[in-house]
Amino acid sequence: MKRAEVIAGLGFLAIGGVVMWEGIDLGIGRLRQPGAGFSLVGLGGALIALSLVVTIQGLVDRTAGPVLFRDTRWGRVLATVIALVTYAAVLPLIGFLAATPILLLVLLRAIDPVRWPIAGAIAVSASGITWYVIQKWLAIQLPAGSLWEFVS
Amino acid sequence: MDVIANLGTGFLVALAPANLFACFVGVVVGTLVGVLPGIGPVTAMSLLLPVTLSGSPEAGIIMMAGIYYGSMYGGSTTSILVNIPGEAASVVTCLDGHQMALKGRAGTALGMAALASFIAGLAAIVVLMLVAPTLARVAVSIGPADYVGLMVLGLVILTFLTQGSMVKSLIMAIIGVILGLVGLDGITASPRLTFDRMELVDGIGLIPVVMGLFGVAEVLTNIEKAVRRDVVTSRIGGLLPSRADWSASAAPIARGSVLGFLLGILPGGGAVIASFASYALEKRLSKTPERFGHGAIEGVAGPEAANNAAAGGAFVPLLTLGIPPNVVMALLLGAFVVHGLQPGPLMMVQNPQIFWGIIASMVVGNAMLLVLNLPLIGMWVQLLRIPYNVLFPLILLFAIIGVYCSSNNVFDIVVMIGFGVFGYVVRKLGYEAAPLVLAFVLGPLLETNLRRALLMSQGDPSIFVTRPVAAICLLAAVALIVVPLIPALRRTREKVALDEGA
Repeated sequence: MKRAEVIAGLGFLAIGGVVMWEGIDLGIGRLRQPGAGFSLVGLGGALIALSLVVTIQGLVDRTAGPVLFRDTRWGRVLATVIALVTYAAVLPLIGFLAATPILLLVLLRAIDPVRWPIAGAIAVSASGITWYVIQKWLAIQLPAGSLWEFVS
Repeated sequence: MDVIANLGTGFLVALAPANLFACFVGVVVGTLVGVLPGIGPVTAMSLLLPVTLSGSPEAGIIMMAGIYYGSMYGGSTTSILVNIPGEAASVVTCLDGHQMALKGRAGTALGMAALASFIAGLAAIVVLMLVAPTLARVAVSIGPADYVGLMVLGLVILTFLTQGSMVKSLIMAIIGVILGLVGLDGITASPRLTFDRMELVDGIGLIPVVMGLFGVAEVLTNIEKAVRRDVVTSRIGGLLPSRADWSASAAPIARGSVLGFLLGILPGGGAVIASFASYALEKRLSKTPERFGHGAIEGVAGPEAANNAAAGGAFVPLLTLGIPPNVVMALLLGAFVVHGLQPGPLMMVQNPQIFWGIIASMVVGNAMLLVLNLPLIGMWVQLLRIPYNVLFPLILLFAIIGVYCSSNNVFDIVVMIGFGVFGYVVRKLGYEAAPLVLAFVLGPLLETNLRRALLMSQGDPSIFVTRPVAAICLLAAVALIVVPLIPALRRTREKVALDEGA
């Protein structure tokens, strides 16, 4: 059995079920006048059928499944994702100018370490230059940070 | 004569200072992303899509087009010097280009790649100019049922040509269509799959999806393994090919141009397939096929010509039918829509300055690329020396900025991260992202035309088999789905299947 294939198949099966359910809920309509849920029911049904194929193939296959994380530096991937999610969470709160150098510093130091002075210089200069170009040249408002507004 | 007069109008547009600058920025950025492994043309175009909003539609589209064919040029530099393709279409160039570099002929390989690209790019533009107006006239008579057929065929061809299981590719395509339908229904205005989130009422943005699936997922894939680069450090000289090099390469360039253009037009096709097909063709036609893989200049000239001709050919279905044949063109369609333009048969009549301006800018852009690529190769080589642990945080920063600027919404950054993780995981499981993105763009168009066709036929589904274009396309699509079930034909498919990473 290919466990990863089966899990993926079941995941897509669940998505297909949700889509089909939503389609039925919205109303299929008739061929003469298709409703908002018409396409969703068809797509959900097709996804369920194909997911079942993948799941069954994974269940009956005796060969070794794909090696997902063995011999890889998956910890770095996890750390990067956590850093990005944290960044997205704190960005509205502390703003672009505070959050971005911290994110860059974390990525430059924690994932595949760059020397401190270089990491610091890149983090500060890249954040500063991007902020200046986006905010001043292109006049696009970057998040200022609600925390600073609250404090001031 | 009309073509010449229209082209004259096009050159007036393309040579306007703002558009010339946009073209220059596009080809420089395109070459840069082509040179740097880990940033493909899709990522770069997504990044710059918000930037193009501030200028005129002509400038925006010209810049985006410049990035595309610029990346086709730049990708060959890394293939030859580092043996890492800068983008998917340059994979084949690694085979003989890097071998030439190892034998001290890096300059000739780089020069031939640039010149072959230029010649093929120019040939493709000439054919595009001649073919597009005729096709556009024919396209006016194409109805909703035909559009459904064409789009289904495009999606099926792409799933057929992507690596690995076709079932998995079809799953990705269906998920793409579903994601494209999130938001308000175009006919009844009912919210669909929004889960009561206000942010989803307008649908999921193309930019966060593409940036996540291609930009973030690519970074996550790269940082989990140690990337080793073997840069050719010897002095690069003698960029101009010799007479013998030219005589060996002339026919491969001509064949690559024709093959590339034709494969570029096909829905689901593109530069990647064209370059592989050209390499296979040249090897088959060669009297000394054993030289291929050991530094044969034909193995550089043919594929390089083919991938650039395909880049030109891919504009045909987009500009005449409004149907993007691949992911890059899907992004370009997004750029048109952002500017309030709808590419298709009427564009040539309603916005001739944009249509002919884009075509003329390609001529200008290709000339710029030739000037950029040959003398500036040393600078591109220096860029290759930036270590990946410095590069990837900057790629992520650009991705965040690009996504945020497109919507001024932090929610889209979350969507991008989500799709990044999704893309990373499904890639490990053998699912390709390209069918998802093309289906995401085509999904709403497909659904609207499907429902419109059914309304027109008063619910009679036979409209899809009685109209010739729809019937032929749907029949071909069914045939392509059935083919992998036949063992002998499945093996053929596996041979031609490609990593359509755009």
